[in-house]
Amino acid sequence: MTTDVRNGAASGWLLKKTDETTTGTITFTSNNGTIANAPTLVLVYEPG
Amino acid sequence: MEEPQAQEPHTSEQPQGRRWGLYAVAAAVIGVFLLAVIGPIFAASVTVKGDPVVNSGTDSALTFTSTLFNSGHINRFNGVTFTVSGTSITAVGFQGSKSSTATNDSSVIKATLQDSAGGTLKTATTTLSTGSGSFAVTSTIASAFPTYQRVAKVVVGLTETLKTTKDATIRSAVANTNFGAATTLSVAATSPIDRALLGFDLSNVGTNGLQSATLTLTVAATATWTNGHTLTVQAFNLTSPGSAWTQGACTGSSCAGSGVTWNNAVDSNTNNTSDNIGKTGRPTAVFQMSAAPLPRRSIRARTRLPARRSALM
Repeated sequence: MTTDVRNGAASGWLLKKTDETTTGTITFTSNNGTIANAPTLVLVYEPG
Repeated sequence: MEEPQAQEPHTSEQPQGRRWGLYAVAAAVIGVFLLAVIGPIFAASVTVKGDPVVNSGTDSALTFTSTLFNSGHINRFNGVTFTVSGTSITAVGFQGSKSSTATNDSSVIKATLQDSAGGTLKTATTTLSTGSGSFAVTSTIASAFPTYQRVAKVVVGLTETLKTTKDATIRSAVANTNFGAATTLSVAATSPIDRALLGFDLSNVGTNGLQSATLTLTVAATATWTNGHTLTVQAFNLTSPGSAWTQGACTGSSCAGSGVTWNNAVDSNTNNTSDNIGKTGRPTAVFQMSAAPLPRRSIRARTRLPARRSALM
Protein backbone atom coordinates (compact mmCIF):
# COMPACT_ATOMS: atom_id res chain seq x y z
CA MET A 1 0.00 0.00 0.00
CA THR A 2 2.86 2.30 0.76
CA THR A 3 4.26 1.56 -2.66
CA ASP A 4 0.91 2.31 -4.25
CA VAL A 5 0.76 5.71 -2.60
CA ARG A 6 4.40 6.45 -3.35
CA ASN A 7 3.89 5.63 -7.00
CA GLY A 8 0.80 7.78 -7.18
CA ALA A 9 -1.09 4.72 -8.32
CA ALA A 10 -3.50 4.60 -5.47
CA SER A 11 -6.94 5.68 -6.46
CA GLY A 12 -8.73 3.03 -4.56
CA TRP A 13 -8.65 -0.46 -3.24
CA LEU A 14 -10.85 -3.50 -3.52
CA LEU A 15 -11.38 -5.87 -0.63
CA LYS A 16 -12.20 -9.47 -1.31
CA LYS A 17 -11.87 -12.79 0.30
CA THR A 18 -8.74 -14.63 -0.61
CA ASP A 19 -10.76 -17.73 -1.33
CA GLU A 20 -14.13 -16.90 -2.76
CA THR A 21 -15.09 -20.54 -2.96
CA THR A 22 -15.58 -20.82 0.78
CA THR A 23 -18.47 -19.47 2.76
CA GLY A 24 -18.36 -16.70 5.27
CA THR A 25 -19.16 -13.02 5.60
CA ILE A 26 -17.46 -10.25 7.43
CA THR A 27 -18.57 -6.66 7.57
CA PHE A 28 -16.65 -3.51 8.28
CA THR A 29 -17.95 -0.11 9.32
CA SER A 30 -18.35 2.18 6.32
CA ASN A 31 -18.13 5.95 6.10
CA ASN A 32 -21.87 6.02 6.66
CA GLY A 33 -21.51 4.24 9.97
CA THR A 34 -19.94 5.51 13.15
CA ILE A 35 -17.43 7.97 11.80
CA ALA A 36 -14.77 7.05 14.32
CA ASN A 37 -14.83 3.53 12.95
CA ALA A 38 -14.84 4.40 9.27
CA PRO A 39 -12.04 3.03 7.11
CA THR A 40 -8.92 5.13 7.28
CA LEU A 41 -5.68 5.42 5.45
CA VAL A 42 -2.94 6.39 7.86
CA LEU A 43 0.06 8.05 6.25
CA VAL A 44 3.17 8.46 8.33
CA TYR A 45 5.84 10.90 7.22
CA GLU A 46 9.26 11.44 8.59
CA PRO A 47 11.82 13.63 6.92
CA GLY A 48 15.18 12.36 5.93
CA MET B 1 88.37 37.46 53.75
CA GLU B 2 86.85 35.76 51.04
CA GLU B 3 85.44 38.03 48.62
CA PRO B 4 81.95 37.53 47.99
CA GLN B 5 81.38 35.86 44.74
CA ALA B 6 80.21 38.13 42.21
CA GLN B 7 76.77 37.23 41.31
CA GLU B 8 75.90 37.12 37.79
CA PRO B 9 73.74 39.88 36.73
CA HIS B 10 70.15 38.91 37.08
CA THR B 11 69.06 38.39 33.57
CA SER B 12 65.68 36.96 34.47
CA GLU B 13 65.09 35.61 30.89
CA GLN B 14 65.44 31.96 31.70
CA PRO B 15 63.34 31.81 34.90
CA GLN B 16 60.68 33.94 33.35
CA GLY B 17 60.67 31.71 30.27
CA ARG B 18 60.26 28.73 32.50
CA ARG B 19 57.36 30.34 34.24
CA TRP B 20 55.68 31.09 30.97
CA GLY B 21 56.29 27.55 29.90
CA LEU B 22 54.64 26.28 33.06
CA TYR B 23 51.76 28.62 32.52
CA ALA B 24 51.34 27.33 28.99
CA VAL B 25 51.35 23.72 30.14
CA ALA B 26 48.85 24.51 32.88
CA ALA B 27 46.64 26.36 30.46
CA ALA B 28 46.74 23.46 28.04
CA VAL B 29 45.78 21.00 30.77
CA ILE B 30 42.96 23.19 31.92
CA GLY B 31 41.84 23.68 28.33
CA VAL B 32 41.70 19.97 27.67
CA PHE B 33 39.80 19.52 30.90
CA LEU B 34 37.29 22.19 29.97
CA LEU B 35 36.92 20.82 26.49
CA ALA B 36 36.21 17.35 27.81
CA VAL B 37 33.89 18.31 30.61
CA ILE B 38 32.24 21.54 29.70
CA GLY B 39 32.65 21.48 25.97
CA PRO B 40 29.51 19.51 25.24
CA ILE B 41 27.46 22.15 26.97
CA PHE B 42 28.45 24.56 24.26
CA ALA B 43 28.21 22.03 21.50
CA ALA B 44 24.53 22.85 21.07
CA SER B 45 24.06 19.72 19.04
CA VAL B 46 20.40 20.14 18.29
CA THR B 47 19.86 19.00 14.78
CA VAL B 48 16.88 18.33 12.66
CA LYS B 49 16.60 15.43 10.34
CA GLY B 50 16.31 16.86 6.93
CA ASP B 51 18.97 19.43 6.30
CA PRO B 52 18.58 21.81 9.20
CA VAL B 53 19.55 25.41 8.99
CA VAL B 54 20.60 27.29 12.06
CA ASN B 55 19.20 30.72 11.65
CA SER B 56 20.27 32.53 14.73
CA GLY B 57 20.91 32.28 18.37
CA THR B 58 23.51 31.80 21.00
CA ASP B 59 24.19 28.91 23.27
CA SER B 60 21.59 30.17 25.67
CA ALA B 61 18.91 30.89 23.09
CA LEU B 62 19.02 28.96 19.86
CA THR B 63 16.60 28.98 17.01
CA PHE B 64 16.68 26.35 14.32
CA THR B 65 14.59 26.46 11.24
CA SER B 66 14.26 23.70 8.72
CA THR B 67 11.97 23.04 5.84
CA LEU B 68 10.46 19.80 6.85
CA PHE B 69 8.84 18.44 3.75
CA ASN B 70 6.05 19.28 1.48
CA SER B 71 3.58 16.54 1.87
CA GLY B 72 0.16 15.49 2.81
CA HIS B 73 -2.60 17.97 2.99
CA ILE B 74 -0.18 20.49 4.37
CA ASN B 75 0.91 21.71 1.01
CA ARG B 76 2.62 24.91 2.03
CA PHE B 77 4.72 23.87 4.92
CA ASN B 78 7.00 26.79 5.42
CA GLY B 79 9.28 25.49 8.04
CA VAL B 80 9.90 24.18 11.47
CA THR B 81 11.32 26.33 14.19
CA PHE B 82 12.90 25.05 17.33
CA THR B 83 13.71 27.39 20.12
CA VAL B 84 16.14 26.45 22.76
CA SER B 85 16.31 28.84 25.63
CA GLY B 86 18.38 28.59 28.72
CA THR B 87 18.98 25.04 29.73
CA SER B 88 15.90 23.45 28.25
CA ILE B 89 13.95 23.28 25.08
CA THR B 90 10.89 25.24 25.89
CA ALA B 91 9.03 25.29 22.63
CA VAL B 92 8.82 23.61 19.31
CA GLY B 93 6.94 25.63 16.78
CA PHE B 94 5.73 25.01 13.29
CA GLN B 95 4.63 27.42 10.68
CA GLY B 96 2.73 26.54 7.63
CA SER B 97 -0.72 26.02 6.28
CA LYS B 98 -3.04 23.16 5.73
CA SER B 99 -5.20 23.17 2.69
CA SER B 100 -7.28 20.10 3.27
CA THR B 101 -10.95 20.69 3.20
CA ALA B 102 -11.83 17.07 3.67
CA THR B 103 -13.94 16.49 6.71
CA ASN B 104 -12.93 14.05 9.37
CA ASP B 105 -9.35 13.95 8.23
CA SER B 106 -6.67 14.77 10.71
CA SER B 107 -3.07 15.88 10.54
CA VAL B 108 -0.92 15.41 13.58
CA ILE B 109 2.53 16.83 13.97
CA LYS B 110 4.75 14.96 16.34
CA ALA B 111 8.08 16.22 17.55
CA THR B 112 10.40 13.90 19.36
CA LEU B 113 13.43 15.17 21.17
CA GLN B 114 16.14 12.60 21.43
CA ASP B 115 19.24 12.48 23.50
CA SER B 116 22.61 11.55 22.12
CA ALA B 117 21.89 7.89 22.72
CA GLY B 118 18.70 8.01 20.70
CA GLY B 119 16.45 7.89 23.71
CA THR B 120 13.29 9.93 23.73
CA LEU B 121 13.39 12.89 26.03
CA LYS B 122 10.10 14.42 25.13
CA THR B 123 7.34 13.98 22.63
CA ALA B 124 4.92 16.70 21.73
CA THR B 125 2.02 16.42 19.34
CA THR B 126 -0.56 18.75 17.97
CA THR B 127 -3.46 18.35 15.63
CA LEU B 128 -3.42 20.85 12.84
CA SER B 129 -6.53 22.61 11.78
CA THR B 130 -7.46 23.47 8.27
CA GLY B 131 -6.35 26.91 7.25
CA SER B 132 -3.32 29.08 7.19
CA GLY B 133 -1.21 30.34 10.00
CA SER B 134 1.15 29.11 12.60
CA PHE B 135 0.80 25.88 14.39
CA ALA B 136 2.66 25.54 17.62
CA VAL B 137 3.65 22.62 19.70
CA THR B 138 4.83 23.54 23.12
CA SER B 139 7.13 21.11 24.77
CA THR B 140 8.60 22.13 28.04
CA ILE B 141 11.16 19.84 29.46
CA ALA B 142 10.99 19.69 33.19
CA SER B 143 14.04 20.54 35.16
CA ALA B 144 14.48 16.89 35.89
CA PHE B 145 15.20 16.28 32.24
CA PRO B 146 18.71 16.56 30.96
CA THR B 147 19.59 20.00 29.82
CA TYR B 148 19.56 20.80 26.18
CA GLN B 149 23.17 20.05 25.58
CA ARG B 150 22.30 16.39 25.65
CA VAL B 151 19.65 16.68 23.01
CA ALA B 152 21.17 15.26 19.90
CA LYS B 153 18.28 15.29 17.57
CA VAL B 154 14.84 16.70 17.01
CA VAL B 155 12.79 14.47 14.80
CA VAL B 156 9.60 15.83 13.42
CA GLY B 157 7.05 13.61 11.81
CA LEU B 158 3.61 13.99 10.39
CA THR B 159 0.78 11.52 10.58
CA GLU B 160 -2.19 12.05 8.36
CA THR B 161 -5.33 10.03 8.84
CA LEU B 162 -7.66 10.10 5.89
CA LYS B 163 -11.19 8.80 5.94
CA THR B 164 -12.61 7.24 2.85
CA THR B 165 -14.22 9.78 0.59
CA LYS B 166 -16.26 6.96 -0.86
CA ASP B 167 -16.83 3.32 -0.10
CA ALA B 168 -19.42 0.79 -1.11
CA THR B 169 -20.19 -2.90 -1.30
CA ILE B 170 -20.74 -4.47 -4.67
CA ARG B 171 -22.78 -7.64 -4.67
CA SER B 172 -22.89 -10.26 -7.40
CA ALA B 173 -26.37 -11.47 -6.51
CA VAL B 174 -27.85 -8.04 -7.18
CA ALA B 175 -25.41 -6.86 -9.75
CA ASN B 176 -27.22 -3.65 -10.61
CA THR B 177 -28.02 -2.49 -7.12
CA ASN B 178 -26.12 0.16 -5.24
CA PHE B 179 -25.20 -0.06 -1.53
CA GLY B 180 -23.27 3.16 -1.20
CA ALA B 181 -25.36 4.46 1.69
CA ALA B 182 -25.06 1.33 3.80
CA THR B 183 -23.41 1.68 7.18
CA THR B 184 -21.29 -1.39 6.64
CA LEU B 185 -19.08 -2.85 3.96
CA SER B 186 -19.52 -6.52 3.26
CA VAL B 187 -16.97 -9.06 2.12
CA ALA B 188 -18.50 -12.44 1.52
CA ALA B 189 -18.52 -15.63 -0.50
CA THR B 190 -19.57 -17.99 -1.94
CA SER B 191 -23.00 -16.99 -3.05
CA PRO B 192 -23.40 -14.14 -3.28
CA ILE B 193 -19.93 -12.75 -3.60
CA ASP B 194 -19.56 -9.42 -1.86
CA ARG B 195 -16.62 -7.17 -2.36
CA ALA B 196 -15.92 -3.74 -0.97
CA LEU B 197 -14.50 -0.70 -2.70
CA LEU B 198 -12.57 1.99 -0.88
CA GLY B 199 -11.63 5.39 -2.25
CA PHE B 200 -9.54 8.16 -0.72
CA ASP B 201 -8.76 11.69 -1.80
CA LEU B 202 -5.05 11.52 -2.40
CA SER B 203 -4.90 14.52 -4.68
CA ASN B 204 -2.91 16.62 -2.21
CA VAL B 205 -1.01 13.81 -0.64
CA GLY B 206 2.72 14.02 -1.08
CA THR B 207 5.17 11.22 -1.15
CA ASN B 208 8.29 12.96 0.08
CA GLY B 209 9.16 11.45 3.42
CA LEU B 210 6.36 8.91 3.30
CA GLN B 211 7.35 6.05 5.56
CA SER B 212 4.20 3.98 5.58
CA ALA B 213 0.60 3.86 4.45
CA THR B 214 -1.73 1.62 6.37
CA LEU B 215 -5.34 0.85 5.75
CA THR B 216 -7.34 0.43 8.92
CA LEU B 217 -10.75 -1.17 9.04
CA THR B 218 -13.08 -1.75 11.94
CA VAL B 219 -14.87 -5.07 12.05
CA ALA B 220 -18.59 -4.55 12.47
CA ALA B 221 -19.72 -8.15 12.54
CA THR B 222 -18.48 -11.61 11.82
CA ALA B 223 -21.82 -13.32 12.38
CA THR B 224 -21.58 -15.62 9.43
CA TRP B 225 -17.87 -16.18 9.47
CA THR B 226 -18.67 -19.71 10.37
CA ASN B 227 -17.20 -23.07 11.09
CA GLY B 228 -14.31 -21.67 13.02
CA HIS B 229 -12.38 -21.13 9.84
CA THR B 230 -9.58 -18.67 9.69
CA LEU B 231 -10.29 -16.95 6.45
CA THR B 232 -8.49 -14.05 4.98
CA VAL B 233 -9.52 -10.84 3.32
CA GLN B 234 -7.10 -9.16 1.00
CA ALA B 235 -6.87 -5.70 -0.48
CA PHE B 236 -5.95 -5.06 -4.07
CA ASN B 237 -5.06 -1.84 -5.75
CA LEU B 238 -7.96 -0.88 -7.95
CA THR B 239 -6.25 -0.42 -11.26
CA SER B 240 -9.44 0.13 -13.24
CA PRO B 241 -11.63 2.15 -13.31
CA GLY B 242 -9.39 3.92 -10.87
CA SER B 243 -11.22 6.71 -9.19
CA ALA B 244 -13.96 6.81 -11.80
CA TRP B 245 -16.62 5.27 -9.65
CA THR B 246 -19.13 6.89 -7.39
CA GLN B 247 -20.39 5.80 -4.02
CA GLY B 248 -24.08 6.28 -4.63
CA ALA B 249 -26.78 6.87 -2.07
CA CYS B 250 -28.70 3.63 -1.96
CA THR B 251 -28.89 0.80 0.50
CA GLY B 252 -30.46 -1.72 -1.81
CA SER B 253 -33.13 -2.02 -4.41
CA SER B 254 -35.87 0.46 -5.23
CA CYS B 255 -33.61 3.43 -4.95
CA ALA B 256 -33.40 5.99 -7.67
CA GLY B 257 -30.05 7.48 -8.36
CA SER B 258 -26.65 6.59 -9.66
CA GLY B 259 -23.70 4.86 -8.17
CA VAL B 260 -21.39 1.90 -8.25
CA THR B 261 -22.78 -1.58 -8.69
CA TRP B 262 -21.28 -4.98 -9.38
CA ASN B 263 -21.73 -4.38 -13.08
CA ASN B 264 -21.00 -0.68 -13.38
CA ALA B 265 -18.56 1.82 -12.02
CA VAL B 266 -21.36 4.34 -12.28
CA ASP B 267 -24.80 2.91 -12.87
CA SER B 268 -26.88 5.80 -14.08
CA ASN B 269 -30.11 4.29 -12.81
CA THR B 270 -29.93 2.12 -9.75
CA ASN B 271 -33.70 1.79 -9.69
CA ASN B 272 -33.79 -0.82 -12.38
CA THR B 273 -32.19 -4.17 -12.84
CA SER B 274 -30.28 -3.27 -15.95
CA ASP B 275 -26.72 -2.21 -16.18
CA ASN B 276 -25.57 0.66 -18.33
CA ILE B 277 -23.58 -1.09 -20.93
CA GLY B 278 -24.84 -4.60 -20.91
CA LYS B 279 -21.94 -6.12 -19.12
CA THR B 280 -22.64 -9.21 -17.18
CA GLY B 281 -20.61 -11.65 -15.25
CA ARG B 282 -17.70 -11.24 -12.96
CA PRO B 283 -16.77 -7.80 -11.70
CA THR B 284 -13.29 -8.02 -13.08
CA ALA B 285 -14.92 -6.98 -16.34
CA VAL B 286 -15.54 -3.64 -14.67
CA PHE B 287 -13.22 -3.60 -11.72
CA GLN B 288 -9.70 -4.64 -12.37
CA MET B 289 -7.18 -4.98 -9.64
CA SER B 290 -3.52 -5.47 -9.08
CA ALA B 291 -2.25 -8.95 -9.67
CA ALA B 292 -0.88 -9.31 -6.19
CA PRO B 293 -2.65 -8.35 -2.99
CA LEU B 294 -1.23 -5.79 -0.69
CA PRO B 295 1.06 -7.12 2.00
CA ARG B 296 -0.60 -7.87 5.29
CA ARG B 297 1.46 -5.32 7.14
CA SER B 298 -0.29 -2.63 5.13
CA ILE B 299 -3.66 -3.47 6.55
CA ARG B 300 -4.86 -3.39 10.09
CA ALA B 301 -8.20 -4.62 11.35
CA ARG B 302 -9.64 -3.25 14.52
CA THR B 303 -12.22 -5.36 16.18
CA ARG B 304 -14.47 -4.92 19.11
CA LEU B 305 -15.52 -8.52 18.78
CA PRO B 306 -13.88 -11.57 20.30
CA ALA B 307 -10.51 -11.98 18.69
CA ARG B 308 -11.10 -15.57 17.68
CA ARG B 309 -13.84 -14.42 15.36
CA SER B 310 -11.95 -11.67 13.66
CA ALA B 311 -10.61 -12.10 10.21
CA LEU B 312 -6.97 -12.13 9.42
CA MET B 313 -6.06 -9.34 7.07
